[in-house]
Amino acid sequence: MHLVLFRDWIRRIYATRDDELGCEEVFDAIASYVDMEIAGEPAAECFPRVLAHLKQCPHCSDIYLALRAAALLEDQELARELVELEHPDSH
Amino acid sequence: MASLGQPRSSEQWVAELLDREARTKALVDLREYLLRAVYVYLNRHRDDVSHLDRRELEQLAEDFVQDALLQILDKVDTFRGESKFTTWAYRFVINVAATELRLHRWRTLSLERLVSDDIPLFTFVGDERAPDPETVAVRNQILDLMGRIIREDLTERQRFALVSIHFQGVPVPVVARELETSPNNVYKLVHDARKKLKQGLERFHYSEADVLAIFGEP
Repeated sequence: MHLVLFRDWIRRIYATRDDELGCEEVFDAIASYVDMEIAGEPAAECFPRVLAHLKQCPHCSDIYLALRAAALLEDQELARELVELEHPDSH
Repeated sequence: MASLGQPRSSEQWVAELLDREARTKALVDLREYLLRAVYVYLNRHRDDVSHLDRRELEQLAEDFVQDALLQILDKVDTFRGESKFTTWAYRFVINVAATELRLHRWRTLSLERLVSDDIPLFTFVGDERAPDPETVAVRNQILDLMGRIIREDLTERQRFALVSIHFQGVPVPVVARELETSPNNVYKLVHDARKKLKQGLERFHYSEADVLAIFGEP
């Protein structure tokens, strides 16, 4: 194990809390969390226990990152299509 | 790939998916959204599928989307409007893809061998300066303590989950399959293992700052 990874592991050990959310609870909340983030709202402040779980759980963290990318892409594509609808002559 | 078309509100999605007549069209359109989401996941987050040709990738994506659509139909009446419906739906296809790909990748590996007591847990690389003898001694005390906690204080399932995931990088769904339980329960096993490690270190008055400093935190 690289020492840098060991120190990260130590931080995760000491960050352990009694009231951590499980994966099912985070799965239920993650869509709201992502939408808030994309809207520029303080998702981490509103859902601190979701963030804490994501820092501990590689599976949920993976889902979060992919979900964020997909939701952002949808936002951008819909914005682009909206612009095209509003300004058809420019295309 | 087809355009996303006229966007629906979350309420429209739910209403149409619950309506027998409108459901078919809604599912056709939702399929397009889910395909985009899973392609984003496969292209950006999964280099283990980069060897697949276009037809294989399309088939894989379609399989994941079909599984996800069934789960979404089963759970659509639980949507509470706390997020966009599409974001809520994307979770299912991403979770299906993430889980199935990891299970497939690890299908032939023996986990028992990876977590055997014969394999030392704490073998480090990346120590650029050789530590002084006193630091080495304290490091060994801390590592011996942590090793003792892992071997003696954790249950067999806690130890298996912690070592697999934290030391061997085994994905959570793979450990869940091996332990014949859910990923949620695997998280709880690892959580309880972390708690015991934290409590054990604190019982011997090792703070986070102490341990990090001894192990070279700049």
